[in-house]
Amino acid sequence: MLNRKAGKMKKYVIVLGLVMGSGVAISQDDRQTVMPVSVSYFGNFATHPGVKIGTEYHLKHISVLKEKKRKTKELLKSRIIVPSMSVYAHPQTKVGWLSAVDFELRRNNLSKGRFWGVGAGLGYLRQFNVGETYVVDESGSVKKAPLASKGYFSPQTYLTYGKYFGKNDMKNKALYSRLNVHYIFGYNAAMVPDFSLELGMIWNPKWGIRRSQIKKKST
Amino acid sequence: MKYLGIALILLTAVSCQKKADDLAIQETVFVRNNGADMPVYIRGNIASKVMILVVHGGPGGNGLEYRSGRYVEALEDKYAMAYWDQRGQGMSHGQYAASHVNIEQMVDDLDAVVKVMKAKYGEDLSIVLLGHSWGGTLTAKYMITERLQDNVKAWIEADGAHDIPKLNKDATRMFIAEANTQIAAGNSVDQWQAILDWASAIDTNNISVDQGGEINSKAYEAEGYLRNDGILSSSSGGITNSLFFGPTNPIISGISGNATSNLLNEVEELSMTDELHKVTIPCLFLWGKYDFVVPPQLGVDAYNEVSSAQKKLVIFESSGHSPMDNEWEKFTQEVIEFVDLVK
Repeated sequence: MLNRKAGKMKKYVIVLGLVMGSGVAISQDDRQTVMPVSVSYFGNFATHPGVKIGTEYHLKHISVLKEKKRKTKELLKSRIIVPSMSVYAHPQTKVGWLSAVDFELRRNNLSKGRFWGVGAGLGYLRQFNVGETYVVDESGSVKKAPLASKGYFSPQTYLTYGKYFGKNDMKNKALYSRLNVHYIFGYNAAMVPDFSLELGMIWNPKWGIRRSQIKKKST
Repeated sequence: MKYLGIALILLTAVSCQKKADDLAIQETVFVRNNGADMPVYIRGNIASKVMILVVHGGPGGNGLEYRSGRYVEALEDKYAMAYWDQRGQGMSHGQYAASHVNIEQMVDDLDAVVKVMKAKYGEDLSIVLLGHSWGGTLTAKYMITERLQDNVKAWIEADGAHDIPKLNKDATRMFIAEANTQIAAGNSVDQWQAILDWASAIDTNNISVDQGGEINSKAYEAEGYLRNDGILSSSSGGITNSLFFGPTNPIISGISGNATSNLLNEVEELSMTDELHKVTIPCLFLWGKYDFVVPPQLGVDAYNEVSSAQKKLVIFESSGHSPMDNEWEKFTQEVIEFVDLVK
């Protein structure tokens, strides 16, 4: 019993220290790390397979400490720029190449080692025909069009959920899923929505561009 | 044990052979025309030098919807089947103005598809057009446009909507007549009574576009009652398309097809019966007796109007709008007999 009380006491001191120390030099925060890299399965309509690679540039982090009953919960709210490139294939119809830059609001619950995010971004979809493409010119003669493709402006919105391999540490690897809704403009004289599902891994390489600093506040 | 081993080897050899045959001609060719890239899925026996070019229904359908059921298996064994995704439908894609979605443009697209098929598979390729429902509208327009019909060997129209104002009138009369028959026979009485009341209130001299849409949806409803009462044959398995793994993305195909359909309101006033006399190539008209979507009277009219020396009309006694599903064996037999005659 005595030891437990002592443990609680120690925790309160740490929390108080964190609250009081919100103005301390942020560079000392050991969670500050480099831009993570992600690789995922990218399934257009969930089942038409592809691969996506991406990274994250963290614009801002705000660490919020919430005291609930006898526990302290740390939420890390992040604003992130997410550039990515995806390639996927539909059998016998198309290969899609999607380049996108998204803005994401992410809420990391570090105590539980998981995060939620919502985002929106701009994208460009290049759709390549799978199979020979032929063009009939005005004289009626038929010619082959090599590597035929068409490009579309394709913004997107998404929801993401991830789980870190450990708790209280953003340097850990995480598994994530992401549901994207793409809006393909100028497609067949209309705007056509499409969706894709991602399942992937995100991790911090040993070197790279550093993430932004973490500001802390408590409630 | 020895015999089991031999049987396994034979089975493996046979199944491999079947698979190799299936893959013998299985490719996608895209036709690019006036801003649209349209896939044509080629399946079956190209060595026959006969190709049935399927012009799908809708507007808003897709070519591979027609690669399902038993009739396809028999036809692909004998001929090459080409399933074309029309502009703005299926997996066709492209950037063009809404003004480029009209029936003249789609006839031009069909002409481009025919030219590409011949350029790719040889000028000696015999192409037979098979248009179903909206595909009947499009192929009818192709047939009466200049002399485009000379580029193909023959025309099969299956429950084709080549005269929509007439279709609306005929369907209304057919609803009333069939409702009385079914009520007298004691079949789905409440449902048919509702159809009778609704159809009796339509002024056939003044049918609006909205009423045309209602006629279309009631037609499928009526077909459902006939199927439930065992008057229509039910479809019988065969090839099925995979929703999640097939070439067609159902979301894109559905939404894009619907948008394209909305741009084609002009077809509501399209009446081509009086121009069908321009058709001189061999024709086969295939109609379901209980087709309320496109009543069989349109098939009778088309048969009477075309100037072709070789022509035939077949009414399927236990079929609705899709005799290739309801009576696939007879449908296949009629198509094969006709194609073998004209190829």
